[in-house]
Formats: sequence, structure tokens, C-alpha cells
Amino acid sequence: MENILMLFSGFSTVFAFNNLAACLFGALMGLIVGAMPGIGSLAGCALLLPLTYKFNPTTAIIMLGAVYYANMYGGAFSAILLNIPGDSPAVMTAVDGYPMATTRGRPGQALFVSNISSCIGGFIGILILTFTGPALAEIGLAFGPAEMTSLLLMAMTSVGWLMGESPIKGVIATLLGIILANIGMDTLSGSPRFNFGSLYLMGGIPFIPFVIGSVGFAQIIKIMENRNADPQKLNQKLTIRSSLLSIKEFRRLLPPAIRSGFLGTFVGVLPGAGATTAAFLGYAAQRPFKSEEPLGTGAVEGIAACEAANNAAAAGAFAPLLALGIPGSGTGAVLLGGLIMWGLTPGPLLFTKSPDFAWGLIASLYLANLCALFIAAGIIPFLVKILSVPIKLMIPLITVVCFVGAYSSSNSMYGVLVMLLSGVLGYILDKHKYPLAPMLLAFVLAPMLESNMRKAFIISQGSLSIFVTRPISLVFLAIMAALILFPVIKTAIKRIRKESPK
Amino acid sequence: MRIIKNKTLIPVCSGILAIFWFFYGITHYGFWDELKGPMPGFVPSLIAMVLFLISVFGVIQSFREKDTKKTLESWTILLAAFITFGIVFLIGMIPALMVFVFVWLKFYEKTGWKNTFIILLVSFSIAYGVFVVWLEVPFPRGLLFESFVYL
Repeated sequence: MENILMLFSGFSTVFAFNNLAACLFGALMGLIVGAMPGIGSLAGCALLLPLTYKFNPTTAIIMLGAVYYANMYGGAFSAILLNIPGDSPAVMTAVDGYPMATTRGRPGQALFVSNISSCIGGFIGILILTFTGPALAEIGLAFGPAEMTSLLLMAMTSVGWLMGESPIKGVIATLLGIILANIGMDTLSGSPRFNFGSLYLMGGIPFIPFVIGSVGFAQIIKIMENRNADPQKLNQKLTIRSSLLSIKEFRRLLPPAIRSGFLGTFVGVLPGAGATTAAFLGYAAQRPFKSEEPLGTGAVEGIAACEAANNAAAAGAFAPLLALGIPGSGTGAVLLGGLIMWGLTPGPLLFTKSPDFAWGLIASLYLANLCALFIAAGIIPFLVKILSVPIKLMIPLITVVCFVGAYSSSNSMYGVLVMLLSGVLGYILDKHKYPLAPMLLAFVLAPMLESNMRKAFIISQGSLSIFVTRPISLVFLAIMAALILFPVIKTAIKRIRKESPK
Repeated sequence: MRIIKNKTLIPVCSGILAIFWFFYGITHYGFWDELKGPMPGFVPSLIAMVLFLISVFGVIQSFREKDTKKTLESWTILLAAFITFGIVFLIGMIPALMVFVFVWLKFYEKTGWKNTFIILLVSFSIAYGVFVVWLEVPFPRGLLFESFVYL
């Protein structure tokens, strides 16, 4: 009850004119920045942080919160329309979003599914944050190195094993992702590793150019094969009304969005896990459930699962940030920097010492979620027009976006080189039907996996028992084993059933 | 008859990479230390071992798959992109990209002037308007521009 009263006082703070304007401006900027490949929420918040120097802390965090939130919406736009994820959490959105927009010729609906799912996931995340924020943060703290290792292994195995036509190909892609992430510096000692004497490689392979290349530029190489094909024949007028979802489609997206909303919030609370892990886990969790179209071919459920999860995680990440002062992601770290810059100390006392600030931020997330939904829905007809442009005209345009996006994320031509080379790798893998998403997931999560695994072994003095004696870790390992065995058992049962009539 | 077909290429390459990663990781960074525990080569070597085993299965599986078609046309854009990458050092990022868009559309795709101009304008708006003006990304200006500045 006390939380509800505090939330209402937070709303009274948000509805002050300057805060409302900051929230709207943040949502709009977040959408634009999020849709641009190579910028993403981290760079978006970092770029807009200087704008808040002259704001009071509450207005400033409201704007940055809205930027962060709307970024999650915007990241899906380029993923769905161009197959270039604006940010790492949108990698999974492209898996079903792009086929739905192109192969199925329903770009408006794909964007709407993404927006509505983001909104549902976001609301679930914010509601949970409102009522259980501090308690959730404590659960997150119960995750030690062993639990994190098991969680990450489960995330990687489930996506690698279950995605694509062959589990072996999925696992090879996952392991390649981890190997590429090994290049750079050792996660614990900071000493150079696998850099072969190169200063560039010492900094590792930058993720944004890597993802732009392996997904976006690889797509350009691929579409060169049928570049003279007609542009997408859109079977409806490019209006908001024609892009609206039917009741049946809304019913289809609701269960995965709600499921992923809860899952994403929980993952967002875990320090370091973030929206990317949430999106991958949300998608993996959708696999056992039925969908009208198979996942990966433009299924509504696929888009809903990952979009709801990543937005819920964005809300969940605020729990450890506000209650404990622990950022759950890179963007959380920027927001933490902002809090310190404005003279606030995040932690358990923040809610009591600066209630206007803490509850104003939580209330602004509700508003930012709605603002982002309406602004995103309003610009769908303009976005969809992109797909009616002939492919051969889009090739140089997307190449330009790949170049500038890759350069801007690293401020170096090394980023562009990484983009081009990973484009070749992505094309070759895709051509041989190796799924790219597990490789990208593994690439992002590998440093976290390695540092947690090594810490766990240091704690247990080399004993594997640490992973099975801790209940949370054991549960994750059991789920992982079940996920691995599920397709094997399913195939075996099918074979037995086929042979039994004979 | 070719021994290694297209379809076998990836698992064979990943297997070779795994062997190299395993030995390089163990010999250069160490695997386990009695006092310090896992060394920097621990996880890479472990992952390399698993990758090698899976690659063997991948090679076996690839024999049952159909070979993929080779299309040289796909690689034209890559060649053009690498040439543009080289030109960036000479004339800078934005001019190099505009030259690429113009040459690609006008001479490779034989597009009309109107469409070429529209795509050029959109490309320029994104590259210059958004990234240079708004986000203040310091794109390379190229040797030619730099030498003019110092003249």
C-alpha cells in the first residue's frame, strides 16, 4: 500500500511540465537512436548524458530512463525492416521479425507485434519493480559465480542446441562465438590474450561492428543473389489502421509476451545479465510452446517472446541500480554515473532519502513506456515504406549505414574492417545454414561466463561440486540437461512410433 | 573428385581452429596453477576441446548434406566495400561513401539519375546529418584533405 502511495507521489512529480517534456523528448530520442545500427542504448544514453548537465536530477534521470526504455523499442525497427539489429537485444527480434516483414509481407504487423509486446513486457517489469524492487535486488545478490555460470551455460546451450536445423551446427556457432570473444584481454588478470602482437586485437573484437557485419552486411552479400527481384509486394495500404493486429494475433502474442515479461524482469535484476540475455532466454523459453508458424520463419510468438523479455529486463535492471547501486548492464553503469554526477548515492537509502527522485523515475517509466508505444505506432507507416524501395537501391544505402555505424561505435577504421570481415563470416555461416544468433549470444556472454566460471573454480579450489551443491545452480543445470535431452528423446520416440506398426 | 566439399569446409576449419586454440592457449597462457587455480588459457582450451569434438561430428554430418551453390555475384559488393574501405584513407569517409553509392548505382546497377540522386541524398543525410552533425562522430577526412590543410 505504501508503495502505491509513493508511486502516486511519483506521478505528481512526473506530470510537472518540464519532467513530462523531458520524458517525451527522451522517448523520441531513444526511438531514433535505438533504430540506428551501431548506436544502441549504451551509446544513446552516453551521448545524451551531457544534455542533462543543466537539468535537476529528477528531470535528468526521467529523460535518460525514457531514452533507455525507448531504445529497446527502436532497436527492433532496423532489425525487423533491414535485418540489422540496432542493438544486441534486438538480435533475436530479427530472427522472426525480418521474415515476417519480408517473406510474409507484413512489416506493419511485425512492427506492431514488437511494439505491443515491448509495452506488455515493459509494464510487467515496471509493475514488479514497483512492488518488489528492493526484494528482487536481494535475490539477484544471491547469485554467486556458480549460479551465474550455470545460468549462462543454460542460456548458451539452449539457444545453440535448439536453434536452426541441426543442434551440431548451433553448438559449433556457439563455440565459435566464445572463441572469438577470447581475443583481447584476459577477463580476470587483464593480460593480453590471443592478440598475436596486434594492438588492435588487444582491445578484442568490438561487438557492434561484429553484429552489424555478421547480420547486416552478411545480409547485403546474400541479397545480391536476387537483387533484381521486385520490391516487397505489400498486400495492404501503408496506414496505421492496416498495420493493426487482429484479435487472433493479439491473443497469439499475449501468452509469450506475459511469460517473457516475468522471465525478462528476473534476468534484468541479475547483475550483468541484461536485456540481451533476457531476449535470448525469452526466445529459447518460447521453443517448447506451439506457434502457428515455426519459429524463425516470421512467427508472431517469436517476436513477442524476445521483445517483451528485453523491455522487461530494462525495467528489472533498475532494481539493483536503485536499491543497491549495482548496475545490471553497461547502460545501467551510465545511469549510475549520471546519479553520482547529480550528487545522489544509489543504495537502500535512496528510496528514503530521495523519494521524489526514486519514485519519480519509476513513475516516469510507466509514462515512457506509453509514450514510446504511441510514438512508435505513429511512425510505422513511414518506416514500412522503406520495404517498398527496390532491393538494388537499398544495397548501397544499407552498406553506407553499415560503414558509418561500424565506425561510429569504435571511432576507428578497425571497426569497419571488423564489420567487413564478420560480414564474410556471417555470409558463409548463413549459406551453410549455421545459425548466427547463438554465435552472437555466446560472443556477448562469453566474458561473463569465463570470469564467473573461473571465480567458481577458485572458490571451490578446482572442485566441480560447487555447481551441483548449490540449489539454484543445480536447478539451472537440470533445466539445461532437460533442454539438451528434449530433442534427442523426441526424435527417439518418433522413431519408435514409426517402427512400431511394422 | 574433390576431397573437401563446400559443406565440409566449416566443420573442418573449426576443427583446425580448435586444435590451434587448444595448444596456443595451453602453451602461452597456461591451463591450471596449483595456487592460482584456472589460468587465462583455461576456458579457451576447454572450449577448444569441445569445439574439436563437435567439429568431428559436424564433418560426419556434412557428408549427408547437399552441397551449396556458389554465386560469384554475391561477392561483388564485398569487393566494392573493400575498395571503398581503401579509398576512405585517401579522400575520407563521407566522400568515399558517396563515390561508392554513385558508382554502384550509376555504373553497376545502371539506375536512372533521379533514383541515384535520391539515394545519394538519403545516404548523405544519414551519414553527414545524423552521424557528423548530430552525433559529432569524427570520421576520417583522408590524406588528401589533411595534406590540403597543412599546405
